[in-house]
Amino acid sequence: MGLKEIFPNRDANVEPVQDDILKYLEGITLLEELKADPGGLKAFSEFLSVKDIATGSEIIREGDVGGGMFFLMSGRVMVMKKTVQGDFYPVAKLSGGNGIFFGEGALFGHEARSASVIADEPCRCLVLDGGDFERFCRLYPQWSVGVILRLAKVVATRLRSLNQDYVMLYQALVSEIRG
Amino acid sequence: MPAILSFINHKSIFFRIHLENCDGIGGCELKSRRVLIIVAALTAVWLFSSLGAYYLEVGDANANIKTVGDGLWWGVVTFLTVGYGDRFPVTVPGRFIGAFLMMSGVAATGILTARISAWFLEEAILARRRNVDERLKGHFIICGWRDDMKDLLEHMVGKDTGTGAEKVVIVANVGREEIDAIREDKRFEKINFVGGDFFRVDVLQQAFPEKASRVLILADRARSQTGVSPSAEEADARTIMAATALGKLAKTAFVTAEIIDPNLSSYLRMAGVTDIIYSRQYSRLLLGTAASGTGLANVLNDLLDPKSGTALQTQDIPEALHNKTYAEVCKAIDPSGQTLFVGLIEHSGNAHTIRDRALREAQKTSNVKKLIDNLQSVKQIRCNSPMFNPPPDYMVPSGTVLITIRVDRGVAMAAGAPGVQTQNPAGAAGLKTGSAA
Repeated sequence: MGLKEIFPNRDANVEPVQDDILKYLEGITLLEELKADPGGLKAFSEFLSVKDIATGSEIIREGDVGGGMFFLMSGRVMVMKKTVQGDFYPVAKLSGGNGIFFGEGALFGHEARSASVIADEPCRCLVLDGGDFERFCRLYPQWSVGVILRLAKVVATRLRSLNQDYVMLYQALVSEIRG
Repeated sequence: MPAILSFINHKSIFFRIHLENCDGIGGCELKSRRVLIIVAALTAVWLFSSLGAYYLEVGDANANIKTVGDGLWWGVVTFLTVGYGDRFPVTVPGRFIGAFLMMSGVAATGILTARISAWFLEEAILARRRNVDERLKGHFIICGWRDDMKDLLEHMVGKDTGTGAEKVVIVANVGREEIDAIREDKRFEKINFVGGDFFRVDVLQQAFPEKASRVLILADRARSQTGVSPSAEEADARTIMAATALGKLAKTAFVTAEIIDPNLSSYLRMAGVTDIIYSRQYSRLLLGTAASGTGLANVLNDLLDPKSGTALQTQDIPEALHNKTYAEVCKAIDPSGQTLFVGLIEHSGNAHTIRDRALREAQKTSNVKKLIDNLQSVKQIRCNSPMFNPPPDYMVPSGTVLITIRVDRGVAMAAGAPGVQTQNPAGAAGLKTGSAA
């Protein structure tokens, strides 16, 4: 979905917003490869949609399936998780403008969200839908390879730390049983 | 007479089921309806037979059942198996009816006898059950017996303790007359009672432990009905058995147990009991203070005796004051500075509830290392361990209660009670400034 479709009657506003978006995207290391080529970021931005979120509303709900990946342009969000008993607890607070993104898992499959993200302030996000990402990859393989590699690195890092957690839990369980 | 036999069978099953079910008010409504049905059925048999006999007899020349009244009279005399013989059928069909009526009468007598004895049985069962009101909730169960039970109750039951007699259930292997002796006192009239060994699960269950809020297990050394009084070890073993059972049966109750041998208290802790009374050790320790000549015996007596006007007690901390400093909590609870603050009990209350709460808190992290540490610290929680005079900047966590000394100045002074206030004002003042600082 292009930006023009989102702001059809406000052509005057579109350009500055788009400039902002391009400028913001430049700061995201995930998209490093796109910066090298003129037009790379612009082509990518064509696949993003802008979403403004009011304070207190849920951007992602733990357990939901799909919905895309979010780049936090401005504002602040709170990442919350649920315990087994259903008690919420805060995991992190993330502020826009630092190349923050979340929900990248939704790009690769229809898995349940692992945490909730709630707007702590009015937020502006760029949303990349899973299907749109795939179309981008197929249209511009020369650019997308770099993006996918970096995403893979992010996922791999997370997998590594999950693995460490797993080992730790395993050891704790064994020592607990041993007494 | 297969019809009659099946009728009897049917009815007797009716009675048995009925006996088991007639507990509540609903069951008793059912009872009166069933009685009505029986009465109606018997009346129908009587009327049908009497009028039938009259109809069949009245045409015969030798008949002595000549009127409807004769028929009904003959019917009732025959049905109730009295058989005066002033009226009797003479025709063959009339005699058949007579035979039917006699046999029905025998059956009905049996049913009525069964019914009446069932009623008496039912009453007896209900009377026994009525010892514990099944609607009871948030009650206080006392397991075991003491010869001075009545004096003990005086400390525990009443307006100032907030526990009414109707909320107390005594579970003990004593005769009814012991309980009746206690119930003679107007204040304890409504006390509930379960007769039987308190360390047996089936006996405990009759006291509805799952709905109780507090349980006290006494070191029961009272003479049993066979005249034998258990040894200290036996009494302690029973206490531990009861505590173990209550750990499962009364998960939400706050259990206090009295133990004679302090070395056995670890078993109580394993059973989840965190509030343990070492009655023998206390008296020994108290006797020990005599050697130092400090006069502490009076202090302790006054603190524990509710009649002294001075009471050592705990006080809940309102939720708004959780995670504030000790000094802030004390100030908020008593701005006038009248109360003596002695210290805190962290993780207070029922061990099961405390653990549950701590477990929920422990899981609120996404860091697995921290999660494991938290969970391990839950295991290590020591419930109800007091902390005296914590530093003023000590953060008071939730689940904590304050230990205070309430001084009713009027009573303490008027009685001239030799205690904290009158005998040792310097010490009391020191305590006060020390904790409220």
